[in-house]
Amino acid sequence: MQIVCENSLLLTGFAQSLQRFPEHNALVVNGNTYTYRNFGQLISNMATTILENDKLSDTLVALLSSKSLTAYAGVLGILASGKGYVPLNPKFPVERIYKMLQLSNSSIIITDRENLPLLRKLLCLIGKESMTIILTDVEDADELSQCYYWHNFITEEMISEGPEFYDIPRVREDAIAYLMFTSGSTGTPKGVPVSHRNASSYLKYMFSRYDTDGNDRFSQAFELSFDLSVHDMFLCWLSGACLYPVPDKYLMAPAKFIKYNELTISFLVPSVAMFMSRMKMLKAGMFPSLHYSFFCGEPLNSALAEKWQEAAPNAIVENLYGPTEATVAISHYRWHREESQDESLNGIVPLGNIFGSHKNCIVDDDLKPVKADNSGELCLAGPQIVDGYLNSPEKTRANFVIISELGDDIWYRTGDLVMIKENCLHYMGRKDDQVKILGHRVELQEIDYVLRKASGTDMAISVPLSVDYGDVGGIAAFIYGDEKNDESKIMRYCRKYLPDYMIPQKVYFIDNMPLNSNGKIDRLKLIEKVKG
Amino acid sequence: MDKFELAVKEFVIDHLQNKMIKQDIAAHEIDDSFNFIESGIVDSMGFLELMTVVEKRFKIEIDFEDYDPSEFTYLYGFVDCISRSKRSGSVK
Repeated sequence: MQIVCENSLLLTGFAQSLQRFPEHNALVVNGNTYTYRNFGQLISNMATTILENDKLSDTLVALLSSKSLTAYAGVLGILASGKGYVPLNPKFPVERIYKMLQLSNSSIIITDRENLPLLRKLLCLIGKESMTIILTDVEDADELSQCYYWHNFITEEMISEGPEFYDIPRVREDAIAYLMFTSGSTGTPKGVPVSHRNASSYLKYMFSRYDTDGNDRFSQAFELSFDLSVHDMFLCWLSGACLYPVPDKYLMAPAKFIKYNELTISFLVPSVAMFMSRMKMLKAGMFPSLHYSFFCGEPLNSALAEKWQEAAPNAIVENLYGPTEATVAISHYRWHREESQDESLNGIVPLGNIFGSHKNCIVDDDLKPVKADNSGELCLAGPQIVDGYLNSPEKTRANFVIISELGDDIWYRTGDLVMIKENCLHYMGRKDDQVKILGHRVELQEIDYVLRKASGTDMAISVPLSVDYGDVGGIAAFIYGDEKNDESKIMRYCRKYLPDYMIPQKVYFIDNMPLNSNGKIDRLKLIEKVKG
Repeated sequence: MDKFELAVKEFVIDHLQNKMIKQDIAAHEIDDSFNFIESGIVDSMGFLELMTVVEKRFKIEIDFEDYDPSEFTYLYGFVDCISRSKRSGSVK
């Protein structure tokens, strides 16, 4: 690859490392190891194939694969073709995947043999709209081609051989690098288009802050549809390091995976560390190879941070924070054994400091900056903040605002309540009906919407189970009516439309739904009921 | 399997069958190779719940330090890990 464009580290990071360390390992996936040179060839082939089949000059290409060679070559191949990638999580219900595909307006899907059954279901929903489907490791697609003759199927042998050094296209700074989705209140996920400028700004800052290099081995625990995966992949390849996707079977508690592969950099949501602790896997000195341990996605409990530090005595432990709209993470706090317990508020590790090139302010409900030491909603402005939601001017207007007292910057309203204490940002909870489940941002209203449809009543509402500073252990559903209202039917419906982490764990039928003074169902009273 | 292992196995099967009924998941035949997670009956939270009820019922503390999730998320592996935990003395 030749570097012809300096504006996007997403594009140039891998290319620079390929030139510097062609024989270094870049990826170890499903038991196979790929050097920068041979992985680079696969990326070049993928980019060439995409461009040869790009009949509609798409700006985005969908990727239906999870933590596989197809997925990683797909991500970089799509970017190398000058397009943005749209990760479609194969674990999501097919209806949800279809909605995301529709929103992205992509007419190219990259997938693999493992996901053929899912692809068939998706093709049924797509109907007669013509698509190009690149099947990276499928030799024979005759049957598919006969059933769905209006689509263009590219099988393994039809994938073109790209040049060894692929010319990276010039991309505009504001071109979409990837499109992720967050939970939306109306049952439709919200598309967050992250530009090359947003992502490059993040990577530049992270690369300068941490001394990662070609000897590092990065964990990759997140699904590609979760934006924390961007950190793993691109910081790794920018450093010339090797990426170790964590197979699903280790994901719940990857202690042995970290030890066996002598990983030097781990990045997990706190829930996973909590599982590991509960399973007695966080013993002192357990992970001597770790240099950095990052946590993000949920509030980090200070006792857990200390326990992790004991298990990884040579690691710098950092708590990162950031919504998808602010590109992966936008604040950091470094855990120090001597003082961090005292700095933690309510047993939760601080969010720390916002990255240098960004502005932040804390506002009240009227968008007025709060007085010092008061809590309020965190608003952010700067190069990592996206311009708005995809094709959704209304939602964009509601969340990207001008704060008249602070000039003409556009501020993103995070919905997170924070306060500043001794120059350090602290998380205080959520402002709205959003909760975090296993690091995923979930709008309770989206679950309510599905529950209403499932039960056929407007009196259906979801509440978080075991609330702990915004971090929840699951969802309970309350539905007006009696047991005759078929619980199993409701659960079946939920499973059809919601990802696993959003499916209620308990369903209560009540004939006396508590209402608040506005006549709305009182979620807080129901939460009290769950707590019993 | 010894008496203790059989009792754990029976208890776990009961727990899983209750879950299947509640969640309206089609009944699975639960044999020794039955995988809790892949079957979709429990997720990671559900697994912690299973651990907790087993620890409570049999008054043990389960230690998975030397194991991979792939070794203890199927029926026989789970019972075996618990049995070893018990033998190594992790009894409350």
